[in-house]
Formats: sequence, structure tokens, C-alpha cells
Amino acid sequence: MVHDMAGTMWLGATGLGWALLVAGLTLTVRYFRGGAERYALPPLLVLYTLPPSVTALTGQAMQLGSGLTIALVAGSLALPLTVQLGTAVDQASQFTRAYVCGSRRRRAVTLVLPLVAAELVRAIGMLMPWVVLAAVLAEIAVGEGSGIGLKLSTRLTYGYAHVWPQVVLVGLVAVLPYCLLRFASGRLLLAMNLKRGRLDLSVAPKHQRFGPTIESLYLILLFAALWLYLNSQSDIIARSPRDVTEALAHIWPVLGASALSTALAAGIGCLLGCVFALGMVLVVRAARHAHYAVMAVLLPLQVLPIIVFKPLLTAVEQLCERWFWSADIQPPPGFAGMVPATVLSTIIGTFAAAYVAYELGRAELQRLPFNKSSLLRTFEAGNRRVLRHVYVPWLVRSLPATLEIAMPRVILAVLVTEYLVPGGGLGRMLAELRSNQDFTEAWTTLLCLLLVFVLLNLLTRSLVLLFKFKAKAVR
Amino acid sequence: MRSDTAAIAISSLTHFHAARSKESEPVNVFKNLDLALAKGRVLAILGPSGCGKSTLLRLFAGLERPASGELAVFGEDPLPQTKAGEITLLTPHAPLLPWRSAIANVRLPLDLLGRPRALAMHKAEQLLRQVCLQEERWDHRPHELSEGQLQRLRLAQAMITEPRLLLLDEPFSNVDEGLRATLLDLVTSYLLKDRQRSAAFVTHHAHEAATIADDIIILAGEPATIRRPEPVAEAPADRSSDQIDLIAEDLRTRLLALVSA
Repeated sequence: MVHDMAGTMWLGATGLGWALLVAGLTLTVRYFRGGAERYALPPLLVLYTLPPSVTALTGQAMQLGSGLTIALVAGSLALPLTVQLGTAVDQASQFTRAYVCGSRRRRAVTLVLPLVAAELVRAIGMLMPWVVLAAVLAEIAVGEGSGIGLKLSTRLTYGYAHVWPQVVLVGLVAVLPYCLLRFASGRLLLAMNLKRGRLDLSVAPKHQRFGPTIESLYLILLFAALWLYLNSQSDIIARSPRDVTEALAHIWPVLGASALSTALAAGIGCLLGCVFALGMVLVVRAARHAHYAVMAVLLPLQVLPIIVFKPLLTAVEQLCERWFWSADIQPPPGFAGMVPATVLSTIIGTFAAAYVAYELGRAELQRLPFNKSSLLRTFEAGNRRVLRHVYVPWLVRSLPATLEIAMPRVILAVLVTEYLVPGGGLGRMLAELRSNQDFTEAWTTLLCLLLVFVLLNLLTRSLVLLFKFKAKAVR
Repeated sequence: MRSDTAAIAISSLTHFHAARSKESEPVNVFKNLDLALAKGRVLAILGPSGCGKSTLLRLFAGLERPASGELAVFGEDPLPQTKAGEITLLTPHAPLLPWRSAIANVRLPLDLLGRPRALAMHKAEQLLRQVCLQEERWDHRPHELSEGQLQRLRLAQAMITEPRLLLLDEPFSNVDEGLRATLLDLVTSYLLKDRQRSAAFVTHHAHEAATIADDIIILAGEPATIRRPEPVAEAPADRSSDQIDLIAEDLRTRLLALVSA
């Protein structure tokens, strides 16, 4: 078992190395040619959003061989790493703006690199659970390798009791480096006299009026180019748009309902999660020790693969079914059997969004200029008044941006849950089509999934524009 | 050729601040501004808040580009000179690197220019002594120093590259009266040492301007135009204290008239 875990860790470390390379290149391009990074971020966002079981389909068509698992791990880690390290680059811009003498390279080494190095330790610490999780999921998706992920999925067929030792080991291996590196990064930031870094949207493309639309079109074009390339490489890809149209006519009734179910679950989950988490941030503000209780709930959902929650999910599903039955509620026509899965997806999606929203919310409160609250205190304003006039408006203002960053994580959670729990949704449909080797239909579903993702992303980005929120304006 | 040219030469300069929002329009800061500063002289810029004094310094450093008109520093584009450390700009709240000590922050421009470390350290020590920062504070980080001490660090940092043009934006704000006189002496002796260095500084204190400036201008209006007080025949070093008081009083009267207008 330890040997298997070492294999998974090696896979995770290799994937992390490649993700670091991608993040480093993206940020170097951003530093020397500002604005060019916006072409790298949308594909990274897609890789981060889609579960390995889905991206593996494209990877297999590309005939990546043994590199596929590493690519899957690197693909899911590249975006969060870029965002985290981009925060440091953004923080360094106050120095690069002030000190213009010397070459740009020397300024990068003297002014930017120390901040990036400090943030790197913190970023790897924060991502450690995701590294382990991504490696386990990639092994399961590809069905190859010597790691613990494959063993976990094989042993699950004998019952849940057989996988608990592996689950505990995965949890420990993910949590221990997380704690150690968080501690080390805290000491490092303290030694460098830096404020704690934080998650934000600094490297997200600047919000321009037609920015989201142009990016969506760019993403679709990129996917079309990939399709054209893969067409000649593999026979598991739909050959022509005509094939897709025919497959669409064949699976349309189920596909439409599944897409709607996934989009609804993701949308509701994201909104509920953000509101829930921002509420929790206020609770933590009032009682600081509540932070540990909140993290005790949210962190395991980030650390452990959702597969280990399947017994819990199934129990919730049965409870839901029983409740619907006892309440004598008939699901709308065409939705039969899908409602419990949607509810479950929403619950999981809610927690996934909650973790992101919670971290972002705490970061937002750290940015709050203290004089605003202390000014009110001089007028003898009580806690409730400060909460109402300072903290709540400040957090509500950050809600659209939080939704934007939480959305990809929610879609991922919803798709994985749909894959695990019997019911509907694009995740389930894709898994079934792949196992039946209906590759043209699977490819059509993947196209539909991309469309759902683009639409949801467009919606949240437009919401940010509507609220005229600018990440930099907050500082 | 280069030695004959003026330190700063501006003709018909027009500049705009970008619009803050879609609804608002760009703000016209300067319109057809003309100015010349001879080499080796010190220019003091006074004027009410928000009239564009700091923007003018940023234009001198090449950090902002005028919309139209000509601007030359020593007959050339100022930005490459700023990048080479020949022009330095001191702003009141310039960020210091929080992970570097006071002395390391002072030598930062020389590090960025790739000068030898020993030379940079030697110069930094000299300057720190001149700005009266106690030796036991040299290894302190910025957060351990007071705002006045930080301002002295910034001043030392601005002078370490021995720039030909020193641009100072309210250099003596946040320091007490006693230290202000010391720093004023330091800057004056630095600038007047061989009359090879030029400077432009923004201040709200008429007395400071009267003490060290050869040329004084007052910026006012929207867009800002230059008002010139009576020229002073004596060089700053030759002015008596009575003369300085008279010049300062004249400047104060003019500034008050502008504010009330």
C-alpha cells in the first residue's frame, strides 16, 4: 500500500512540476508582454473545470500514452498555480512601477522573484491536497499506472470496508504536507516581512465589455482546431459535423435534459455555496475559533476524492427519494429519476464553491481598510452596526467575483458526483457512453458540455461586469 | 553639444489625465506650457493641491508622455535617462521593499543597475550618515522605522545614483522642523557642490523654495498655467536670511491670492 502511495505521489509530483512550468511560462509572458496571457488562461480554465474522466477522452484521442496521466494532473493544477503565483506578481507591480532603473530582467530578479518564491511555497502547500486528489483521479480515469488510485477503484468492487485503509492513507498524505507547507510558508512570509498572500483574480483577464464573449469564441475556435487535428489521429472522435448532427438527433432528448440538470445544479450550487460561505466568513469574524470548525468541514471535501463519499451520497439519495415519495411529489415529465442526483450534485457543488468563497471572503476582509470600521467605532457604533455598514456591503461587493472563480470548481464537483451517483446529468451520460464505446455520441456530449461551461462562464463573467466589480479597485 | 543644452526644455506642452469612467472625459492638466531650466539650476514648483505639480515631475522623468508639445531633458528623451539612473524621482510614499533592510533599500537602485556591491554599500553608508539615520537602524526593516525615517531613506535612495537631474516631490514632508533644516542643507550642498546637477522639486513651503531654488514657478488654474514671481538676482547661496524671508512672503501672498481667487 505504501509502495502504491509512493507511485501516486510520484505521479502527483511530476504533474506538479509540469504545471509549474506552464504557470511559470504564462507568468513570464505576462511580465514581459502584458495581456498575452489571456490566450493561455481560457484553455487552462477548461482543463481545471472538466474532470479527468472527461479530459481523458480527448487525451486518449491524442494518443499521449503514458504521458496522459501526467498531463491530466498537470492540466488540473496549472490554473490554480498560475492564479496563486500571479497574485505575487501582481503584488510586486507596486515595486516594478516605482523602480524603473535597470534592465527589466534585473528588476524581475530583484523585485518580483522574492515575492514569487515566498508565494510558491504557500501555493504548493495549499495545492497539496489537490495534487494527491488529481493523481488519484487521473489514475482512475486512465485505468493505468501503479498508484493507489487504481487499487482504490478496483477494491471498491469488494465493498467500502476494503478501501478505508487506503482512504486514510490518502487523507494523511494529502493533509500532512499541506499543514507542514502552510506552516513553513507562514514562517517564510513572516521572515520576509510580507503580508500573507491571498487568492484573488489578479491574473484573470481584465474585465472588458466584450472580453467574455471574445474569450468564449476563442475557446470554441481552439476546440474546433483541436477537433480538426484529432480527426486524422484517432477513430474515437466524431469524424465530421454531420456525424455530430446525426448523433445529436439520436440522443437529443436525454442530452437536453442532462445539460439542463448539470447547468441547474452548478448554478444553484455555486450561488448557495457562495452565500453560505460568505455568511460563514462573518461568523468567523465574530468568533475566530469557528474558523477551525469551518475548515474541518470544508477541507476534507477538498482533500479526499468524492468517490469515498459515495456511501454518504447514496444514503442522502435514498433519503431524498423517500422524502419525495412520502411527500407525494411527482418530478416533472422528462426529469424522472434525475431529481435526487441533481440535489446531491447541488450539495457537493455547494461545498466546493463554499471552500473557494470562504477563502476569497477571508481575503476580502483582510483587504478591508481598517479605518472604515475604526471610524465607525469612534462614533460608538456597535458590532451589529459595523457588520451592517462595513462588513456585509464589502462582502456582497465581492460576491460576483467569487461566483466567477468558484464556478469551474462547482462544475467539476457536479460532473464527478453525477458520474458516481446513479441518475442524470452530463457526467453520468458521458461515463455511460464511454463505457458502451459510443464514441461519436460521447464526443457530441463533450461538445455539449463545453457549451454549458462556456455559457455558465459567460453568465458569471457578465455578472461581474454588471456589478462593475474590478479586482484591483478593491486594494 | 549635450553640455550646452538646457536641463529641462518644454515647449507648447499639452497633457491630459485619462478619463476615470466612461461617463467622464479626459482632464486637460496642461495646455501650451513653456518652460526652460538651465543646467545646474534648481526649480521650485508651488501651487494649490491638484493643479498638476506631481504630474509635471512625472513628465520630467518620462514616466508619463505628453499629449502634444515637446519635452527634452538634457536635450534627450527623459525615460532612458531615468532607466539609467541619471534622473531620479522621489515621491512621498514610494514603496520600500519590506524584505530588505534600510541599507539594502538605499542601495537598491545601484543593485538594479548592476553596480558592484562593495561600491553600493559604501555609498549607501555615506548617504545614511548624511541623512542622519542612526547606525543601529541600518539593519532595520521598513516596518520598524518611523515615517520620517522612511522619508530619509527615500531621499538617500534617490541620491545614490548621483543623478544629473533630481526630481523631488515634497521631499521634506513627514519630518520635524529640526531635521527639515538638516535635510535641506544636505540637498542644497549636494546640488550646489559643483553646480553640475539640476533639480526640480515640488513643495508647499514658500520658505523652502526661497532657500534653495534658483527659479520658482507657481502652477495654477484648469488647465494649469505657469505664474512667475519676480525673478531673484542672487544665487541661493548668496541670499541673506532677510532676502529669503522677503521672497517667501511674496510667494505666500501670491499663493493666498490664487487660493482665494
